[in-house]
Amino acid sequence: MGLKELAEMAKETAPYTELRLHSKAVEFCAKFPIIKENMQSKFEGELSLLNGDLKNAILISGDRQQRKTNVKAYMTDWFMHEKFKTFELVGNLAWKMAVDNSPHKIQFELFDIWGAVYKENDWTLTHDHWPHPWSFVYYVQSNGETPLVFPDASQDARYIFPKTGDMVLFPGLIRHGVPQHHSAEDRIVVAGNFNVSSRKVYV
Amino acid sequence: MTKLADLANNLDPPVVMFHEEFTAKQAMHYNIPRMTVNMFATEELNIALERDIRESGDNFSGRNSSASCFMTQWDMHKHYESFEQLGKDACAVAESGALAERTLANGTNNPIKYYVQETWGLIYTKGHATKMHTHWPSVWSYTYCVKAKLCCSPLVFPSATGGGYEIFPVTSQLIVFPSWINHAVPEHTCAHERIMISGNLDVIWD
Repeated sequence: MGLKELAEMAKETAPYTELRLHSKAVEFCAKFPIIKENMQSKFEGELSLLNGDLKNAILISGDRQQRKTNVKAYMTDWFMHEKFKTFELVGNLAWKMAVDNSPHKIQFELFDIWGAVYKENDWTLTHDHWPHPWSFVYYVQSNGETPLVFPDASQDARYIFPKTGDMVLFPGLIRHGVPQHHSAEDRIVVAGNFNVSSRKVYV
Repeated sequence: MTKLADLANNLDPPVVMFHEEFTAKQAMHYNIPRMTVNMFATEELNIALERDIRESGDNFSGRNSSASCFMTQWDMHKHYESFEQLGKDACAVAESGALAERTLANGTNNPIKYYVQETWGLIYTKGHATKMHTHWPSVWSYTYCVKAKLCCSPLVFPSATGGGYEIFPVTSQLIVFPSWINHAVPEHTCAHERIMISGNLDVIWD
């Protein structure tokens, strides 16, 4: 079969925006790591300075996405690490978590990182970050009232209620979302994705 | 006992994406596309693939941690046109599989292009098997049957719900599946060879 025939075959099954909706999907029961760490201990009491800088950078950047993406809240552009050292720093913290929690020695690189501010009634659609191997969310300001939700997880693991300084790392293919934020206090996050830069081959 | 049940009873490690030492794990049910394409007019391709596998030689002599069979070097697509061609076909199938849900600035879904990260050839003879493993963090993996019979050992996905999922080899069949899925090949018990190609696809990041 040549590429032309393969392209014809592809036309018969329009591309899906989610793997699980593919016409040839098979159901699997699998386990994935979802890891939450608080960054306070890494900054010896100066975490509030980092968070202040992140807040400023997010506000300076402005709302660039205008709720066109899955995030129905104020959101910066995708590549904030190219403009702000503080975003690069958060990316480095998440990178260390990704490396430490991977089953093989793999070199990751930060692909994109952005900021978002949830005001009252803002929310995020359930979505995934596939095909990125790891994704993360860092909580610049969160009172723990609005969760990060993994709707496909077992009931006891479905909701994470993050607080300021928490970093949550998870495989990019896992679906997640944020329900409406019902608090007068802004919920401010930095999120991003890694891709593979180079790695050892394996079977 | 079926081959699948036999495999399930002898597998190590358990059916998880990562190793057991991970501290936080949640079980999730996921629907995973498994794309199978029976390719046509492949006589010449199959002859070339088999020839190239034998010419490349057994690079591991059973030392690979997963596959105990004859196994070539990892980068066959860089040395042999036959492997390069098959890799392009696998990319085309993967690109038809799913878009990224990540959106472009205008809100449309982001199409994804792939390249062959690595590809290799395998020849199973009687007694050979491949232990359960994943190809994470590649995005898609593929396997192509150069020569085998339906009586040969299947490719099995033990963590599929309902007791696992198995695909018996058919010559010229290309199977594309997400790389993080655990899979294995039970012991090959036939007298004839089972000749396969495997490979991994990664994303061309813009």
